[in-house]
Amino acid sequence: MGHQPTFIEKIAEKVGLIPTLRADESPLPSLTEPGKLQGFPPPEKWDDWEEYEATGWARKEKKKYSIVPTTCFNCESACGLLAYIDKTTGAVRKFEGNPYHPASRGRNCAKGPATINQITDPERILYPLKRTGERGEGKWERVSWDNVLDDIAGKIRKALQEKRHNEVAYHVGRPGHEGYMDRVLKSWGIDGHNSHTNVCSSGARFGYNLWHGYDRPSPDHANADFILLISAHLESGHYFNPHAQRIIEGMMAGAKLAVMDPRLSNTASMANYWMPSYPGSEAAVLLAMAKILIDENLYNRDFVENWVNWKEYLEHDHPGTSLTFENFITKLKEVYTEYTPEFAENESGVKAEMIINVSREIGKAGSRFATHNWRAAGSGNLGGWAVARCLHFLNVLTGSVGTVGGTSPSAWNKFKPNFFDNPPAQKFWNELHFPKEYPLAFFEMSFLLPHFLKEGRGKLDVYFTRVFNPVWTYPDGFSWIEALTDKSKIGMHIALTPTWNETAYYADYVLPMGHASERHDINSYETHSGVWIAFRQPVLREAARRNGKPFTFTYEVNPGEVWEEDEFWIELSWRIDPDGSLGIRDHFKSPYRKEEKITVDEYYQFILNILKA
Amino acid sequence: MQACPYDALYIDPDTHTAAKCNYCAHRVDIGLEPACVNVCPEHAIISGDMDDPNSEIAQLLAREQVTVRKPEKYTGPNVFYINGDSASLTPSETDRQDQYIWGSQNKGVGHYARFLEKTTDRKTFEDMVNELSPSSREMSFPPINPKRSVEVLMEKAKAKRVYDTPDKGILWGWEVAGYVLTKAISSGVILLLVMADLLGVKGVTQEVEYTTVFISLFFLLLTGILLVKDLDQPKRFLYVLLRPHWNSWLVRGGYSITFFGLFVSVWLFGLYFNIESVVLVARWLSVLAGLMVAVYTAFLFAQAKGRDFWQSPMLVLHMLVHSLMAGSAFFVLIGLVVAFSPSMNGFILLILKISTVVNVILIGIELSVPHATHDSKSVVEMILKGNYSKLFWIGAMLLGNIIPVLILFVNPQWAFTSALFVLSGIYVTEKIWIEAPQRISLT
Ligand code: SF4
Repeated sequence: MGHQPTFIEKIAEKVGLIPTLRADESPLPSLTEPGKLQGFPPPEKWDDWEEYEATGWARKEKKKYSIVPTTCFNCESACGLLAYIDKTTGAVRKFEGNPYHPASRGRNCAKGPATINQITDPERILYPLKRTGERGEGKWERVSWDNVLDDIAGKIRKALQEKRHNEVAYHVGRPGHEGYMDRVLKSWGIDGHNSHTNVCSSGARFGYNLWHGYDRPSPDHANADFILLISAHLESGHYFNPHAQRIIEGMMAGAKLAVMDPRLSNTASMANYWMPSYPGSEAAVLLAMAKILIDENLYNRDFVENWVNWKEYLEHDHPGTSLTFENFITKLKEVYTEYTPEFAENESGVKAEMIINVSREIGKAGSRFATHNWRAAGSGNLGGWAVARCLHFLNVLTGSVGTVGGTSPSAWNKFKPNFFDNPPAQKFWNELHFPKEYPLAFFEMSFLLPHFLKEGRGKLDVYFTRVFNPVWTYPDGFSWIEALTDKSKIGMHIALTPTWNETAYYADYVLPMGHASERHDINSYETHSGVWIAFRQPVLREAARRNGKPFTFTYEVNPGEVWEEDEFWIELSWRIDPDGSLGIRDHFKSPYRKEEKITVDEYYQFILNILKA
Repeated sequence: MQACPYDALYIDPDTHTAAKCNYCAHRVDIGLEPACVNVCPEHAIISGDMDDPNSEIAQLLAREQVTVRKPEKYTGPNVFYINGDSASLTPSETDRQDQYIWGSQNKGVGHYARFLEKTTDRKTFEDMVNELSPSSREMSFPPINPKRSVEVLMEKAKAKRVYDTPDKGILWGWEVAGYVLTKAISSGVILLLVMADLLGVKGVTQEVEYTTVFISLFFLLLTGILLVKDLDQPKRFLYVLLRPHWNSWLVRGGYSITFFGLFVSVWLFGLYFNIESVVLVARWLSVLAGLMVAVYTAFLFAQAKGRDFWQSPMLVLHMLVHSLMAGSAFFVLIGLVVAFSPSMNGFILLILKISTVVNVILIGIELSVPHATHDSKSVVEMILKGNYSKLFWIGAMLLGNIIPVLILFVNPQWAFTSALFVLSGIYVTEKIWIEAPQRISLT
């Protein structure tokens, strides 16, 4: 079969007027029999894989790769990636999905393979930079990692020696880094962790936390009969890609989908019930649904009776009432009288009839009822935490907590690593993070940091920002600029980041840290019903190992001198405590080699060995 | 690219050649699924062997109700849609939108990409941004009424186009209209000369014959230049001739032009060396090839299945008449420098008159008979009343046909103005005929 050249074509090719389309002299073998196709090269071929070039197929151009698995880091899902390392150039040429990753199963969103664009970004930072002009002036010089580490370590050491523990802080956007950093900060003995969570997911997480002390939901969409989503989880939000896979799986198996989203999002367009509620009115709709479940006897009596502290409720709110479940339901009905579907329609714009229909579907689904809220209404509105709280009440009423097809607390589907060493808890309370006048703060009051500094509540001598860009992402970026440019408030600002950002611009040191495929990490997230772990690794390090090329640190194989933060923190901690007198070194000694500094390989070896056992 | 009724071909910005999905041949060859199948998180794209009854795809096809796009084009489509929503498959069911960022990608792709590349160095960054921004085009936003919006969305919504494939713009532009004109002249003068000779018109002298042959060759050369210039990758012209697909009218046309040029050159050779038999044979071969050159474009357009308006069977006549108009009009212009015999002159004017009148009738029929498909109706609408109406009524009809005919009847002394009008009229008509159908979204 194939192309049969005409006489004219043959002559023209001979004379060289047009390029010759020779038959492939040594065609690559097919992985499958004719008519059958598979998704990925099999693992036994990963070390030595050869395939045709996409654009050079007509000319039968081939390319040899070494394939190394790692995980994506363009959102928190940590989907699997396979890095295709060109055997001739030794550089990563492309990323594809990893079929053996339990959450993503080889299927990624567009951001996964796009990791290649981050790695080859011509504007990326390849070497450590030190400010030479004023902060924010944009003048930099390249410095050596040795100098950087010694300079920062010296400053931290001094602060710790002078008991200025609260002047050292680490402020993070999305680090990955399962538990890693908490361990490091504890080993320094500081209350130094600050996050971005209070401008992100803490609203919804507070709502969940009130129910059972777990602040994340883990819906089992794939096995649900009815799915209720606040916002567009097919295309956005946490774990949207692994979730989307399961939502559609569930729907293919007959589940119905309801979506509360003011926008006709892609998710809303796939829904059986689209409930475009006015922003901020979601809780009203959910309360009306709860009312219907209670009034129409659609709740799961067994579950509610066994798992809800209704006796305490009666004792506290209705003293004198006899402690029977029937009385509880009666009181509950009274409390919920006002939350009629009509009330909810008036609040939200969602038709009462639709609210009733959806509620009955929820009642029918019973324990196979999966729900999800992450940010959206939970973070966009004052009191948004009530959305997740009301939403989870529907799970409680239907008894769909921790069931097949229901919604579990996150920890049920998440692995927590055991470390080789656990430093004692810190003995300081940093009021720049958790000020005493906000006792209910669920996460650090991070958005107030620049204001606290301006008020003179404290100062920061060493301030790390790690993939954290408040100048851009916080509502009042200019307050951050004011704080960041004031050297009396922030003594030294170190930005750890793979790329330039508006906050790094105001740093004293800008230290390049690796992208997804240039660092280590261990990942486990509640993407579906099941516990999994995935290993993120610097792929060129693994390629170097396969080729027997010597190296000590990841930065030696990464582009430029891009470090990975795992090694950075080990190295920094080691240098903070050169003689071991601060007791920090003890927490960074190899579990396998006495008195020696731990390596990143040993760090993960320890975690994974326990797993094996 | 015009042949694809699904608008699936595009100009690869790196190679400047036409490209399309090839079902990931480079992967399928080694037993891997196409990349789109592999990567789709929701397993919404399924590929496989339709002939294997156990394959997932065969089972789905057996079980589900599926639709294909444009079966009436007989392309034998093998992409099937389960629950395919006709509003998302049929462009004419929704309107073009300016309000949505992905609904109005009409810059920076296809030919526009080259335009951008060329203009980037010359223009300032601001200019470029302005050019790309949707606000530089006329936009109208409906007033926002927050109270009503939800209800409107839920109850009265009709499908809206919020995502669209990039508009590739006019792929066949002035070069194509120009080449139709030049080849009409090139073939027309030959046809006319031979007709005159056959009908015994006096004055078909050797001088006239030389002139005609030279003009024909000159315009054929122009035709060739325009044809090659029209390609994004000019060298690919060689592929048309040297890697021929005999079913394609691009190839057949290319060879018609080549052989026409060859025969006319032989004719010239015969004239020069005074070999009568060669002249005789070359003449007849030139006439045959000339006829092909004149009309093959109609078949080429008909192969552009994406463009319903070009499927008209009238197009062959239309091309032939344009060729006679162009040939006679050009002879009138030559008459300004070469003295024709009176009978030759009369013959030329007669043909110009007749062909122009016939042209008006043909166009009249073409635009007034009911068109079968939505797309060609829209084109007729565009020509008669829409974007192209001014150009059509004033440029093509009035100046290109009616006024020249009037002049010929009223004052034949002014025939040369009439000839100029006719030639530009042909160009304008072709421009409309070629451009207007390309404004229809295919996908
Ligand atoms: S969904 Fe997966 S592939 Fe997409 S950005 Fe997140 S981790 Fe990467």
